[in-house]
Amino acid sequence: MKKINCILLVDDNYVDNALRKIRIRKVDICNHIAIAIDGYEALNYIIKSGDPNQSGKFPKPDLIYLDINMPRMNGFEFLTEYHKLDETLKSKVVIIMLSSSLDPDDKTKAFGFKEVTEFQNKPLTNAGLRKTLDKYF
Amino acid sequence: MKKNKSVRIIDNNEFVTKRKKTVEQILQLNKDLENNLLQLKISEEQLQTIFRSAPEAVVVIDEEGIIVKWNPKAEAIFGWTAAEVIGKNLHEVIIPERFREAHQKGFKHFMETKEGPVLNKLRELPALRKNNTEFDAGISISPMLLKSKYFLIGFISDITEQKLIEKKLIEYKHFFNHTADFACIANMQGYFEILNPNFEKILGYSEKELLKHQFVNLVHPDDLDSTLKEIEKLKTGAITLNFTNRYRQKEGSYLWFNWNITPEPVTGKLYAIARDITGQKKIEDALKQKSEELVHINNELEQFVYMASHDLQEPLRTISSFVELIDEQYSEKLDNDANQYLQFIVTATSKMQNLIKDLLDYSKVARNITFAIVDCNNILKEVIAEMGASIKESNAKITYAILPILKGNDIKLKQLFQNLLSNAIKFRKKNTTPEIKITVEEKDNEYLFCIKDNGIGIDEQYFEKLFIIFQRLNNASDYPGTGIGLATCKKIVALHNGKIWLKSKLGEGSTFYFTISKENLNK
Repeated sequence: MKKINCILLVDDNYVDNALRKIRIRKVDICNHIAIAIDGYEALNYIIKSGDPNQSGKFPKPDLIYLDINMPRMNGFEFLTEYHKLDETLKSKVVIIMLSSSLDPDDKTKAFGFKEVTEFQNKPLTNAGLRKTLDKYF
Repeated sequence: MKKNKSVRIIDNNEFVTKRKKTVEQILQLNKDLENNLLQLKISEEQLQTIFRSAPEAVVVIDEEGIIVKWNPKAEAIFGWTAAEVIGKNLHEVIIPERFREAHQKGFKHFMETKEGPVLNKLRELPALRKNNTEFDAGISISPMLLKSKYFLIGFISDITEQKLIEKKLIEYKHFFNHTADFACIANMQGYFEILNPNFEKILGYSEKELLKHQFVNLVHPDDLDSTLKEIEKLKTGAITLNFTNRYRQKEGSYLWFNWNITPEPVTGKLYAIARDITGQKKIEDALKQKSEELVHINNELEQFVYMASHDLQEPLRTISSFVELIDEQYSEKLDNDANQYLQFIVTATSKMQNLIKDLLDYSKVARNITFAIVDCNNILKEVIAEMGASIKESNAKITYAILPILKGNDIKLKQLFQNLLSNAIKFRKKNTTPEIKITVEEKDNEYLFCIKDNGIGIDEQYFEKLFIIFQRLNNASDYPGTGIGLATCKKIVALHNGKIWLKSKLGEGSTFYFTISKENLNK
């Protein structure tokens, strides 16, 4: 079974994060799971992951699961800021937007960012996780 | 001759001279007389000509009322020849019997007083023809004193036609004056010429005020441009139909007028009818406002349903996820009861998830809709492909004709076919292979789709109810469903300017029909 180094979960829902963490652990596909409760925290995490002084504390995520609706900085606002980051921070990162609806507007908006790899519906399932891993890693 | 003898005594010369003079005088007199006679003859002939060719009947009667003159026009009007009536009493000839007594009385009165109401005035009286028919006559009578005898000359004309025209004019005037509309004649210089009483009565100005100023002075400033433009059009001879503008009443408020105007380019006159549509306008405005409010409320409601169902999904997903986890991790440690309870939670949450998903679909029908050219064949193929599992499981046989390419929203149309097909499969008869047939018929303005199944059928009393949200006809254990699917279908069809209905008999299958308008171009 393939394994990646780090998955970053970005969601303001504590229970959802916990649940996803359990799921990912169960499928056992990565070494680190990082959690950010909004876009702002996620952005900070990514910046720190590229800082050599912080090395080890903030492993660079290979896969980011990104929620849309979050306080302070939502998914789309995060993507706007993320877009401005240095390419080295973003290389080989797969971003999957998680949506609770099939709103075609959100989907269209998401694919307006070249950094977005996929648009998936909640919830995260074992099968879904494996499929993603097979597809992108 | 006696005289001559005595004259002979006088100087013969003088006599000769005198005689010569006398002869000259006589000759002169004779000449004068002849001249006078000629003049008289000319005069007489002129009079005769006038008498013969007068455009009116000329009738002369004497003091006794006896007809002495009767001109050709009189012959034409009354039908009597001069020979037939001269010497007869006038009132026996042309006065209708019921007026004869009054006529004789009036005639007598005139002869006694030399006064009368008919003298030298034009009067209208009924007169009698030879064939005993009556007509309206215009009569004027002049007295004439001749050798101390009175004669009366009557000038009579047949005014039947004139009276008819007058009668018609009076009738038209009734319409003009009593219509509920505003009627007027105006000119292209912008002034009223003739107004019916409504202008005074309803606008509140006097007729004088209305005639004095250009009518555009009364038009609402916001309607002035369009009014002037309309007058320019009228000048070219074009008719105005249902032009609306506002007119100021004297007390300051405005009335909405709806104008129909016919111009007469030669005379420059405008024949105009205006209807006061202020009340109608108010109702229209109120309706418009209400419908805008309704649209707004409806949008809010849809937004509410959308948000509510969207937010309901989250906790539900959490519940089902954790139930799943418990099932995975602890099912072996739990007893049978606990496992069954968990199963109930799973069933209930999945049911609620379906309900919320359908509700979301329903609320999203009218959201962010764009229309494009859609190939229904592709849509149906996609739907059938996506329904693969249930088609296979039910062994359903689906046949379909070539479907049209039309303007619509592909996502919604797909949803429509999906709902109708899954219903056709879901409500199948036990132990019968479901057969579903999709056909289409092209009409002038729309396509009529028809989806026929051989399922359990529906009692006619539920046909209307079926399309109402949350209405379910069957028990949930046999035929699970949310009761939203057909309501969504109805909404989708309505969005495409179409209708949806069905024909069915209990136990004999159902046929669902829906139309998609060809005129969805401006969406």
